[in-house]
Amino acid sequence: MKPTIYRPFVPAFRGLMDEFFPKAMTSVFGGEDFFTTPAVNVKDLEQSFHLEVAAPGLNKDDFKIEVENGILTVSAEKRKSAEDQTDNYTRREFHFASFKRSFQLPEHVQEDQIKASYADGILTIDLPKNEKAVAPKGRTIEIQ
Amino acid sequence: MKMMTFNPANCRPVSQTNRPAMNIRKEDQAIELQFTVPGFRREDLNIRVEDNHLVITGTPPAEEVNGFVRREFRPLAFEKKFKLGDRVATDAIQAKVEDGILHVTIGLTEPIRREIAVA
Repeated sequence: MKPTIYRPFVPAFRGLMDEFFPKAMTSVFGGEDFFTTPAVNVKDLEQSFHLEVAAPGLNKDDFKIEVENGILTVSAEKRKSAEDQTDNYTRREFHFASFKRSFQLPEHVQEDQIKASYADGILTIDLPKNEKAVAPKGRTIEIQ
Repeated sequence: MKMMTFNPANCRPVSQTNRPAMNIRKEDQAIELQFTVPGFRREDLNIRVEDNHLVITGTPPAEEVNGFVRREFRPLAFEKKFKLGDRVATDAIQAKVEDGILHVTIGLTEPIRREIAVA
């Protein structure tokens, strides 16, 4: 069994954030808070951490990603397009709202190497680990 | 800019549902349906007319399941069915997917107006 060593991506506003997302998984299709609190997946891979934010209907220029004092903040604001101004909606289950979510980064993230891309409504942020962290997990101690 | 407020009073459990959120926009000659489908690519979505119903299905791409330390969303398979009205021109249905939003535009024909002469 894999022991728990650390908890990467502990949200900056911990207690409260945890209540936002209780054990149940948020559907990609959203609940009522979908567009104000986007759902996030985090993967701990060998070379990097992978953060995915479900944020459909935006443009890559709508996002702002910042790192300050080890805190990663992802925010987005939909720029109004001409299309949005014509209403005529007879049913509206989603709309584009701005959002902001922060994450405490683990120490071994190379902050200057963070890359992000946006495709199919999902913002993907790649956070490479520094070499120390990539080193093999297991270690045999020689008996002298 | 409207910020998300971290107020526990606003917190609600978010349930899992395989129903994309939908907007309906009505214009004179067309109806536009919008669905949130983040994580679905063009080839993962299927739109067809069957038995006077518009059927939209999504099959999520196979994904690498390893390495998750936090998982709040996952694309789920879905199916949506709509009965088409008399005014729908079934050959004038268009769809496109853009940034995780599926747009389906349904062209409408002029309402049929008949005058019945009093004999």
